[in-house]
Amino acid sequence: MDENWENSQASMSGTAYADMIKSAQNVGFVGGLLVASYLYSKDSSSSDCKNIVSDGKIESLPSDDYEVLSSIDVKFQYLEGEVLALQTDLELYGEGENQFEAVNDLKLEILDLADDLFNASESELGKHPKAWKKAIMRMLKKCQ
Amino acid sequence: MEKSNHAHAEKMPINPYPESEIRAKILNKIDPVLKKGNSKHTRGDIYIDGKWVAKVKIPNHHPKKMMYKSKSKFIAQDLKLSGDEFNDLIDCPLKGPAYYEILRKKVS
Repeated sequence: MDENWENSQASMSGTAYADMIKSAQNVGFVGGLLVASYLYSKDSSSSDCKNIVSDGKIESLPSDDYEVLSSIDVKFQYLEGEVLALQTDLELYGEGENQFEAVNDLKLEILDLADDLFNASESELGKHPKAWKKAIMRMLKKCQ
Repeated sequence: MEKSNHAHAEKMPINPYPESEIRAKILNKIDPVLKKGNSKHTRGDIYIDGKWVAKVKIPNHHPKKMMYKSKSKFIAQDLKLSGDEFNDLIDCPLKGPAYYEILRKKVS
């Protein structure tokens, strides 16, 4: 996993993220996703961010080729007119006009990456792709 | 190393650019291997010495649409560039070969 990429996801790591968790405003289900929404006031790095983030989990993917072994963590970032769905371990993001579109885009990104990583040998992968493969193998099982 | 680069990126924020400009510079300077899968966006895979070392989501061709800074930041991070290096890539001082030198140091 790219530490740089993860650490800079809307500055959501460390103490600020812990504070955010404690100050949860709402928890519910949106489009089959368990979602917790937070008002987030400590992000000064992205001027186009509306300072709201949510956590969610992906429980299924639109493919018969993979089985989800453990729910996949997602963070949502709300921009003006756009939502990003972030998966930090895989350094992927989906985007859309709303949370539903963003997570669906992320699911497709995950499947595309899974296809390439499961088919690649270790010798073909640099350190970051190796980390993605390790992470994705914890999340997904390729059906035979 | 990466943390210090990130700290530097905080001091040198990424400039606003049209999505089409970012797309063009990535395609022309970095020339990644393009993969069109199920997602609506094309992914660019970057190789060094035959090894897959990085990937980047290629922005769509929207000439008038400005890229959100937070999305530009993700692209910079995917390319393993600090904020000022990313600006240099888009503004032109950073050419393809120099980019690959930076990348080689960061992924080795």
